[in-house]
Amino acid sequence: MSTVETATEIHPFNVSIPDERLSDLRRRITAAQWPTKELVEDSSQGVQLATMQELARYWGSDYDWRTTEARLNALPQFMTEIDGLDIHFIHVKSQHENALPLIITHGWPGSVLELLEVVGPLTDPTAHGGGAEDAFDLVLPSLPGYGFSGQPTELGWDPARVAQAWAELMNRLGYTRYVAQGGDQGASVTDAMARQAPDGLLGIHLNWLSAFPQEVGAALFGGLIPAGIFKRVVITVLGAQAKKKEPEALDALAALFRRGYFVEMPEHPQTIGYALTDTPVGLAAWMLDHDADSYEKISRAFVDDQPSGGLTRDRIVGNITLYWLTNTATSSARLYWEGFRTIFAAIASGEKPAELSLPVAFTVFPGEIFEAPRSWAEKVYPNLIYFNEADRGGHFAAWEEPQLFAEEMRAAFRSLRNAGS
Amino acid sequence: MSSTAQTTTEIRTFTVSTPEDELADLRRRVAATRWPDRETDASQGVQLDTIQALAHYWARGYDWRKFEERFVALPHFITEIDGVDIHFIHVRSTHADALPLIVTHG
Repeated sequence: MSTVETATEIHPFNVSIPDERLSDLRRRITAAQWPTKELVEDSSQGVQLATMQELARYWGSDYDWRTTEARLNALPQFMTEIDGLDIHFIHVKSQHENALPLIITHGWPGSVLELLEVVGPLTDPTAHGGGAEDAFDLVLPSLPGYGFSGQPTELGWDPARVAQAWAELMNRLGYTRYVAQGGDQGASVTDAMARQAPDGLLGIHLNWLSAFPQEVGAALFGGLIPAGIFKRVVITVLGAQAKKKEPEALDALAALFRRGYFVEMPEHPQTIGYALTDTPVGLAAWMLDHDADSYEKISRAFVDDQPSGGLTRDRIVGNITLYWLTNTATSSARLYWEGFRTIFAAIASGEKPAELSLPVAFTVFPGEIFEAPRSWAEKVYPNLIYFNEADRGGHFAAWEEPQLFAEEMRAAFRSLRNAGS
Repeated sequence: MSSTAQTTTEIRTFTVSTPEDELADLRRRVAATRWPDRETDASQGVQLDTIQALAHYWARGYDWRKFEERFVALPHFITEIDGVDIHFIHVRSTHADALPLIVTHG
């Protein structure tokens, strides 16, 4: 009895990193051993030396972790144990009555830091161009193995298990009607929440398509599907149709599955983990090499001192420093290993994902790795209540364009505010 | 013109001699390694026990000088080809009619 009580307790949490950890980090940045310059004038060989050297110079001499720490500690943070793991989360209640509770899940290589600038517009809409009827109560958890949440030491923490933990978190906070949002890995978690449809979840918003229509799956994973001759022909025909209808989206998506981090982290997160854990400059380069659009923007922020929206040098380095100080490069990469293991097991067994009937809203940001076609979103989410193509922003939409992102949340969830009450 | 050509086809002798402070820096970096947590499954790549045992041997058991001795005992050369310095070991057999063989590592 007392064990149960202890395990559902919610403790206030503050970030306070000892000085010696910060000086150790600066020492390692300054002592970086550099490779020679890439032989091309573009990023076709990866993150460029000039970008990394400017980032390292800024990181080692100008950047101050204490400002990032103060931004986190200015918000109410908590820790609670769910399913055997400490979960760190930010919880900001709106002053407006009838605010809609919203849980937003970050992705990789992100953290709760990418979501801090949406806290104001979402919880205090009247100060940010909205009305009281647009208010949200906000819950921003750190994924297991990320930031200040605990690192799983056992197998099985795939997006579906995180989704179950999030439902328990919302339940523990006393929310009986709420919505959920996610991009990147956060989209996989949020998609799983909607499929599990826990009591109280009214609907979700996504800015990343983590589930694909049958024909897209056939084009991407056709070779992995165990099938006889007849089914093999069907898969081939379906894949060809997908390619013909949406060639750009399919090519961009197929290219993602060949990208370095997207191959290595699902396959051998531990191996790359040694390098990322031991060298801050290596960790930073690995995190910058996520997608072409954000790399170009981040590179401009350092080399030309021209940030794109909220993707400033301070915020970029702050996020990398969070990964370093919490030593979560390896544990965060394992989420890919877990997620892919679940997906490939499902492909091998022929098991179809659970039906999803909850309302789903979707926003495409133009700089995203692939621009999800409306036709794909409609097939995967039969109850698609909202679909919009934003005019700016990329993979880190909430980070780069917080006001625009908040306006998308307001529009996407407006029709659900009075539902099911 | 011709003197440039003569210079670039020259074959120079070469030897290895690593400064002591470079070796000390390497040992320091290996010993100061920051480690991730243990893998949660053996299929996640190089295992923590393996790499920690390797690092332990590297920093404390391994002696680069022994390797260097064996290495410099062979005839080393450098020559510039197509704008790049090429290092190679060239050992002639004492037997007449030995067949020249070039072996390329990976």
